[in-house]
Amino acid sequence: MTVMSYIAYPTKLGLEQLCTDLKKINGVDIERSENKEVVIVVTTFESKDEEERIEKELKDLSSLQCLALVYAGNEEKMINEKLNN
Amino acid sequence: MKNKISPQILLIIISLMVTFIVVQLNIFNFFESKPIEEKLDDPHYGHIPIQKAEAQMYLGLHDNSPIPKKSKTKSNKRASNFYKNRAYAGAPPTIPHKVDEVISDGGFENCLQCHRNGSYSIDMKAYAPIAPHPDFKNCRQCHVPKLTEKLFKPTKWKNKFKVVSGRRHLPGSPPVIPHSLQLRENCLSCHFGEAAMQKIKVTHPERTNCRQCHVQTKTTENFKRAKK
Amino acid sequence: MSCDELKSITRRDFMKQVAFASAIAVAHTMIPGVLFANEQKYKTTANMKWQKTPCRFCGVGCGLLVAVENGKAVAVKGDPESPVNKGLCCVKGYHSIQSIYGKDRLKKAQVRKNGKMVEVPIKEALDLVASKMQETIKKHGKDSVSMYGSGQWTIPDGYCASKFIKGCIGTNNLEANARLCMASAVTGFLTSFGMDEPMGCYEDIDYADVFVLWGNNMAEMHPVLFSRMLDRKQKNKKVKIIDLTTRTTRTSYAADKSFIFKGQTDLAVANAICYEILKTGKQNDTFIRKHCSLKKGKTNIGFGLEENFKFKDKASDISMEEYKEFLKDYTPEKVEKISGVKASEIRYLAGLYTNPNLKVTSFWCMGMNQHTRGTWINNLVYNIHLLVGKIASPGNSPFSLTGQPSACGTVREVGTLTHKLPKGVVMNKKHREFAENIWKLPAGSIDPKPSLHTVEMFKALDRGEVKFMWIQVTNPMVTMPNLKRYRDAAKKDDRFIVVSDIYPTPTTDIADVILPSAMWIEREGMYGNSERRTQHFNQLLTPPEDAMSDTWQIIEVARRMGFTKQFPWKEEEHIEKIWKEYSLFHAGNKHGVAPYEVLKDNPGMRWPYVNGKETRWRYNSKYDPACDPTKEFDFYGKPDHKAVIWQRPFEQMPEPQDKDYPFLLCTGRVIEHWHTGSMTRRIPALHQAVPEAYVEINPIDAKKLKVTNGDKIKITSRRGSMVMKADINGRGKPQLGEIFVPFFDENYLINDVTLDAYCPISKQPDYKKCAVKIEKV
Repeated sequence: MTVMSYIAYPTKLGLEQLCTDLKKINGVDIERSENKEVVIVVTTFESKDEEERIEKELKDLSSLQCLALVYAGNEEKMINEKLNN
Repeated sequence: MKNKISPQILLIIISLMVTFIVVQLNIFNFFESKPIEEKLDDPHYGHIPIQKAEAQMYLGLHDNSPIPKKSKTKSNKRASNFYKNRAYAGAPPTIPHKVDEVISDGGFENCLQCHRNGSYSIDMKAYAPIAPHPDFKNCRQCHVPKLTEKLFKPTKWKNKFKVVSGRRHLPGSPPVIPHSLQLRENCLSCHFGEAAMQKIKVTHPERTNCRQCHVQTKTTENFKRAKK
Repeated sequence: MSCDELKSITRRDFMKQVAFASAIAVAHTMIPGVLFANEQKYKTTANMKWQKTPCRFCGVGCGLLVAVENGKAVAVKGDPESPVNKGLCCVKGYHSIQSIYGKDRLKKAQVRKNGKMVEVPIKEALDLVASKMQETIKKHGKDSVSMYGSGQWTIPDGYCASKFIKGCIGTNNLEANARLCMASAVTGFLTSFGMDEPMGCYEDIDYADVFVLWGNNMAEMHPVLFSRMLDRKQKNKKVKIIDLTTRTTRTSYAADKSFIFKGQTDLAVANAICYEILKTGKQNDTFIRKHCSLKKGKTNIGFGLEENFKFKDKASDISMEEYKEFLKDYTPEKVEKISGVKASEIRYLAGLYTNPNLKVTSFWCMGMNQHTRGTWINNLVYNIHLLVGKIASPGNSPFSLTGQPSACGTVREVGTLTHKLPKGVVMNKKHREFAENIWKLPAGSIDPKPSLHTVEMFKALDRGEVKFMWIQVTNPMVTMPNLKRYRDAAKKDDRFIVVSDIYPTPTTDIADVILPSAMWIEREGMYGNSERRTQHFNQLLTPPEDAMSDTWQIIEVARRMGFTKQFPWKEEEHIEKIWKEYSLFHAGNKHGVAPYEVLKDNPGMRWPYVNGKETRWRYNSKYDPACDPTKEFDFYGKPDHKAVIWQRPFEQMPEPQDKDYPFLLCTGRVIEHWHTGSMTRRIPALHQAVPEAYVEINPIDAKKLKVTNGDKIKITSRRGSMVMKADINGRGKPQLGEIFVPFFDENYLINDVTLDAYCPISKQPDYKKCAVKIEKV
């Protein structure tokens, strides 16, 4: 299982529209800012297929200006790290 | 003499007996060092999680029994059933299966036959939820079956509630108990076992002194010194 | 679903949390001023620095790891390295750090001017304390000043108090609230063994086959040890837990058997068990002959109720025949009549103790200690273990549990009681010289006569013999029995009360000077728990504004009074220096303590700490290097190296039920709240779980009174009354004719109702029994 987080910026269509669009995508959770035009996006997927699906759906959004990747965590890697420490 | 058994037949009998003995020994695990119950008491025994161990004990050792190790009802179906059977958080759930009229027949407690220990029901394809208050014997006083989906007249009422985790006051601290404990004092009856709702299954069922770390919330107000 | 699947769900949630938290953190750096509504939700424990400390609360002494972030304590987890709790805590421990952040935390010193409390710079307050102390000593003599400390004092606090009050000022008016919780345990140890503190350790739980709980609600009061017992039971089905109790509690539900006895008759039940052991001939004659002597003391010894009551016991030897003759009054049938415990049940208990294949651990706490014959009942449970030789070895353990986090470490080991010194007693010339030497004081500085124990000290405050009292880390205006007398006493003119505390309490309400104190992890220190484990903690946080550690407050005042030579240390290293000096008192293999560096690096060390090793079982030459190696057991606390089997009778309580006051009142705690609640009530999770005190009443009594849950009941004794809400069929169920009230709520000062009768040997009051009447309001 992999979890990734981004900071997302909306296009001229606005933050409201972006949030509505993002909520529709399966595997995506959001946290919007109270005072700035920006929203945090967290994607969760188990397989490559899911990852590609989410990527495509995000690309198709006209309300999304850009996504800045912040964090990517892989479950197996985490477990291995913990075991090796 | 006629009483003598021919060597071939004797050989067959002996080999059958040996096979029989070997089969029995295998079934009853005589080749292993300790009986299964003792092993499970041994803190160093394997990494079998508690549920699996319990299921093994329950199954005996016959793996072709019709009783599955895990509930055949998927977890999200169990969750939707949970909500469907309750009018509001804490409501007595309706009975989702056909029931006899008689609760107790000469001491034989019908409901508790399945709901005391959470037995598996083949026709429901599910483990029966464990009753948190088995000392109340008049089950049908509060639990009724749903004999029809039809309403008499339309209503505004919606069965709308969500099970939420109790608040954690600090990161990592044990969540508080978000529900009343009236008639729900046996934590493990709902928070553990094959009938339990996935979301609330507990990661540490072996710690039985639950209320050492998890407390109720009787008020949401903070302490204020009384004014003189 | 398997554990693995379950774990991956929580792992998923955790990873999502980390993902969100990282993104939020980055957003903060990229976009100044950005706010997210649910930020708090995403704080994880992934990147915090964890440091060890013992828990602030009970005498179990769990090891905690506290996470500090930006100078704030933000999370707690159990220290998996601590052998005490192995990573598990209880609800109080998990939320303990929230007690630091209550809104009404005392941050500034206050002084009473014209009847009102006014904030002053702390230097001014300390000046005033020192000058007032000097003035009082000059006018009325050194015995007119006093100090009242606590089993929640750290070890350096108590050590400085002892040096200051007993050494420098030269009065023995130094007491601590542990007098109200552990004194009977101490005198029990001293009379039976000659030395204080248990001979076993918590590892006994891992070996015992039977646990007998004598009048203590371990599920709520020592919850982590209780969990260890339950864990042992789960892994060994034959392990039994026997609950001997006056009222049904959460402990009773988990026990295999629960035997209810009438308050005070534990004396009779213990004697009946001894009778049964000797009658069936199952005693260990060899052990008794080699390692025990038999004695008796005075009887009809009173209850401390008269003004200026004094008592001194006198021991005389007895023979086994005389002891057996005495026990004839305690046959199980006779004891059944007065106690309510069936004769068969008594025989069952005796059978558990005598069975050679069962290791038995007895646990007790306030039920036996807060008792007008507390010393006696402690002796009697030791008798049972001594008669069958089940003592001082793994699993065979009469274990006296301590209530407070450092009643052992500070009050008992440092000796902050009127008659004690860090080594020995004030009455002994050698001990006085030893202390005067280490403390660099002239010979004769220490007063050889013990002066006032706690109840007597407050009575002296009332009478006017004591005019100055400095109270630290305790709340006597909630906890003194027969409270009204002592509250009025403290409020009298010409009494100067200094209170060091962290929150406003009924005690700070009557103070003339309030000194704001630092909380435990806001200063460096050590605590000593029930199993003789001393645990060190670093300073993890800065105390707010003028708040100052209790140790440093004492040092500042002592210096102002001219004792700079005795308190020369620099602030950065004073705790280390104090520990090094204090260690000198206990040097030797009977009580040696671990060095400072070892304590810092480990989750505590049990004393005696000899040649780099802890002594887990004392008096047993297999484990204790202080023993004579030619003997199997060596009770070296006594001059003849023998433990004492004491002949102690049953004597009825001073205020039993009668026709005017037909109910018995018992007081105690609940798991959520610590003592008077000054800390735990300011912890939201705990306050919200138990917001208000109540009175537990039996459902049949409630029905007679026509009272249901939440109805108000008035409780009246010969001393005072209290109106409280009824709690029926709650977590505790009293017997018919008995009620129970928890004392954590300062809005229900139940000690206005209780009686200040005490054990004449230990001087510890009995909070568990007094006569009351109840009526519906």
